[in-house]
Amino acid sequence: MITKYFTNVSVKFDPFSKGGRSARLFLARVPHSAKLETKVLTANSKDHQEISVTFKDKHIMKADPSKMKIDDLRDYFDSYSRKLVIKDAISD
Amino acid sequence: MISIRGIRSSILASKIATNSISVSVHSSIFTRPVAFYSTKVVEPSVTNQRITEKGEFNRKTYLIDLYKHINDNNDIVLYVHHNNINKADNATIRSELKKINESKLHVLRSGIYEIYLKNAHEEDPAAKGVSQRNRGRKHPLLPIIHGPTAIISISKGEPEHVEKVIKLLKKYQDKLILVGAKVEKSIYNVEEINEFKSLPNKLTLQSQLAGLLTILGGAGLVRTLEAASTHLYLTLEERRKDIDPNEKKEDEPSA
Repeated sequence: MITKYFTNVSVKFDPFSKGGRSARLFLARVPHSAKLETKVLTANSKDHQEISVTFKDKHIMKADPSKMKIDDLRDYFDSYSRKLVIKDAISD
Repeated sequence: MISIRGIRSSILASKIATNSISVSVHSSIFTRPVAFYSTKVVEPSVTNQRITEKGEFNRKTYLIDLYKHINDNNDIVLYVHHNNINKADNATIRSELKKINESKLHVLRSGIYEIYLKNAHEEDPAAKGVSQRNRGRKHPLLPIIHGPTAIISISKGEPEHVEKVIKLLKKYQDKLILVGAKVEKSIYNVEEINEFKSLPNKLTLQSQLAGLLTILGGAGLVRTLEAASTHLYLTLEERRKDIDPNEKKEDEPSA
């Protein structure tokens, strides 16, 4: 996963649910250069599980970890990161 | 041919015998008494030897034993997700935890912990064939050990210790994230842990209960608790009187 363009990452997850697995695996891949915000939910909390990533150019992407596996999450966020990589390459 | 070989071997045997005797005589004179050892191979007793899936001194066996020890000997086990902890933080967290009643942080090998959880109900979770038997078994803690997980063991089930640990975890927010807990035999999620930590400690709870019982008709409670035993005594006494004819005679005139 290309993570060097992440500036803010906020993850809300319920560890006991299905989404907990992919959310935590995603968390483990976030570099410490990105600002991290986490919230642990329970089965009866009203909040929904969510991963939201802010990129270097303030673009925000959101995903639901309960519907995606870690590989899907990687592909999803990489789709935008790759654009930034290309942009960087052109400007250099 | 066979007979010749037989003769030869018998001669050889006798030679050896004479040799050994002479040796033994010498040794008995000069050194120590003769000891004749049996040639039968004595097998080591298999009964009290542990048969494990991996080698007995293998690291996997050791870890399963360690996890069993931690879970059996600590009232509270907190499960945390660890993320980007650097060396300095790691050292301070561990030393701070040690001050809270010798609590300890263990980073899990989740694959092995998973096997331990599945086999936790068995007598020896590392024994041979046990993991095969419990392959599809479910455990309520299984979902929270995916990803980088560590456990914090707290030996005594006191809410104040939990509160201190959680305070420490708050300091390292987003590096150690509390995801669940095992308190005695029940499993708590984050909400329930927060409720638990605000409880008064065990001793005050017990004294409160005792105080409450004495105020709210302690005598009534005592009578209720005693009722079963007194009832049993009375029935048995009646029965004894029925069986014993002498007793009856003695009883009748008086009654």
